[in-house]
Formats: sequence, C-alpha cells, structure tokens
Amino acid sequence: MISSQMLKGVLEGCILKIIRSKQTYGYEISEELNKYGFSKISEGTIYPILLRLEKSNTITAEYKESPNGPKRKYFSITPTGEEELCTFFLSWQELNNAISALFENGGKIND
Amino acid sequence: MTKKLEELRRINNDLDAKISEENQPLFTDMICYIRSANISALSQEMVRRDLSEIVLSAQSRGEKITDVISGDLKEWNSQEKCSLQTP
Repeated sequence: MISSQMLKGVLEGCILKIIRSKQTYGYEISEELNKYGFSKISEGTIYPILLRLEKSNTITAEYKESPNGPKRKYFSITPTGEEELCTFFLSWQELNNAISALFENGGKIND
Repeated sequence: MTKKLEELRRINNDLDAKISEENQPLFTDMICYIRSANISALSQEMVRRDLSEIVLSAQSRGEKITDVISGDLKEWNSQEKCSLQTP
C-alpha cells in the first residue's frame, strides 16, 4: 500500500490524467484509480483536491442529472489543466528515472 | 445572488431530509465545519450540495458516510477548508 505521504505528491496529477481521458465525477475517479492499482482512495479524499483544481481553473465543472438522487458534478480539464498535466508528467518522469537509477546503480534494496 | 442562494438552500434542505439517520450526525458535523470556513454563504451552500450528493450516492450504493469520508473527520475538514480558502 502506497503511503499517504507519498501519495500526496502525485494524486493531483493522477486525478488530472483521469479527467483528461473523459468528463467524469468523483466516485468514478475513485473507481478508476483503484483499477490502475491505487488502493481504495475514497471520494471524500478526492473532493478537496477537485475543489482546489477547480479553484485554480485547472478543471471546470458542470452539473448533470444522475440516475440516483441529486444532480452530479462532472469535471473536464481546461487548457491550463493540460499544461499542468504535462508539467506533472515531466516531473514524474524525472523522479522515476532518478529513483530507478538509484536502485539499479546503487544496488538492490537490501544492500 | 440572494435568489440563487435561497434556491440552493431550499434544494439543500430537501436533500438533507434524504440523508439517513445513521449518517446524519457525521454529515451535520461536516456542515458545521463548512460553516466555520471563511467563504461566502453561496459557496458554503454549493459545497453543502456537493457533500449531500456524495453521501446520498453512497447511500444508494449501500455504503455509509464513513466509507466515503475515510480517516479523521477533523483532518478531512481541515483539507477541505484549505481548498476553499486558498487564494
């Protein structure tokens, strides 16, 4: 299970990636993350992140009818969001390369 | 603005009535924390609507509020307030 500290740094970018794929909502984002191997990240955890992203104009929201109950908030990525996602991915690649090199060139984890 | 706020409050009051007895105490706590955030009344009601939808959707899936708001409620509300109040 990925520690919450480690997850904090990447979750926003991962959520943006999912939203980029299609217009979606909180619970669906949670389910998608789970499909990709993230341990269950509740909708409640995702909601404050969505608020932040919306406030920074990285995503936009619209309410649509839902099959059960009140109108549901759907999110789409904005041009600003596309740029942020690109930046995130480049940063992730850099970090991934560095850590992979550390463990490969620096020996196995138990060394 | 006032009309929009009044309409939203009416909608939210209707949604509140659908939240189960089991989920009411925690939901009420969450709303109280929202009320203490330094945001407009309209923003408070918009968040209240979002949270109602989250809880009611969870109920329709047979889940409890604690299934969708995992972890410490105080920590969760703190994060939410930060998201709302960030300039």
